[in-house]
Amino acid sequence: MRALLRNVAALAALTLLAGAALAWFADLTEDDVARNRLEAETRILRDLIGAETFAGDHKGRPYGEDLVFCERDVVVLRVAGSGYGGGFRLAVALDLDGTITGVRVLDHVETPGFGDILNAPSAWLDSFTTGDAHAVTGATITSQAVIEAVSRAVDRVRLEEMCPP
Amino acid sequence: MNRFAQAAVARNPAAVQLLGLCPLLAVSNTVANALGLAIASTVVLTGSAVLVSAIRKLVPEDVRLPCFVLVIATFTTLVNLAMEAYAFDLYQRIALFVQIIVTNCMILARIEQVASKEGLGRTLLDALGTSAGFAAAILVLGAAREALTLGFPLAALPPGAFLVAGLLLAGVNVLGARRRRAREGATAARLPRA
Repeated sequence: MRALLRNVAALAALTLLAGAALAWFADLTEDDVARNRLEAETRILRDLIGAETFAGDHKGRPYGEDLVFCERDVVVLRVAGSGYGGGFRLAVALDLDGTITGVRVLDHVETPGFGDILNAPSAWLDSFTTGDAHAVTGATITSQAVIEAVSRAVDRVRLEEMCPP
Repeated sequence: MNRFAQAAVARNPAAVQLLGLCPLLAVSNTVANALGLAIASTVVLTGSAVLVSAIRKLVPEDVRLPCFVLVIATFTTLVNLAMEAYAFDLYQRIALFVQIIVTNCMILARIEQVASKEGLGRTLLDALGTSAGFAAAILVLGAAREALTLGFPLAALPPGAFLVAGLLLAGVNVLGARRRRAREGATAARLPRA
């Protein structure tokens, strides 16, 4: 009984200490982590729709969580999905006819190597702009989840509501 | 040979004990990635080993493994957060492999065999030596793969990791065998003739 109590007390004390250390450090790094993520997302969006169009702030009319940007002749939707390794987020750019002009992955946790089709520059991501995207051998779950998420984004576009002239 | 050199060379975690091979193969495609993982592993191993050595008399024998794993996981998460905050480019390239440092048996082995039994000084030397040995192995592999990629693109891909690591290990074994033979020869020469 004494040994059991000693074991429980040691584990509990160490767990508390570990939790406190992690909470303190997570708090300390929170702002830098958030800024890094936003910068990375901004770089991806500039690459997607051109630096002169995307100023860096997410201006445009907010439309739920979906709309990132809506100006002139482009609307960018953000859409989440779930792949092999976990969740991912996409940015899908459409012109005012509803044609896909570009797809970028904002973040993902797919297996390195198999998930490389998600990292720009990627011929596979570019294949969405020709309307001819197919699932990829060796990355079936990943690629099908992305295709499904892109079509969900396209279905959800309501251009008249989202981008009134 | 002192404890540092012993841990780094004679018991080199990668080349002699063949521990920590998953990150060694996965992250050695460039020197920059290899250096990032070497630094992360060094911080986790040294920090965990020193902390375990400091609290070794308070940790009950029965629950020592969960305690060690908890300490290693905490240091791994701290390093991961630090990279995400202060070295984001590197984080995006090697984050997954930094996270799985927690399962690296090289680290648990040093903690179970040394840090949980010995004082701070010896533990620190052993941890730094082991880290230096791992860093040397992953940097040599990273440099070899990056250089070979120029004329042999396969070197940067996963099969190339196995090929280059296999050839390097074969080289280490040849050198080791030659040194052993030389030592045995020298001993034999000193023996008086009967």
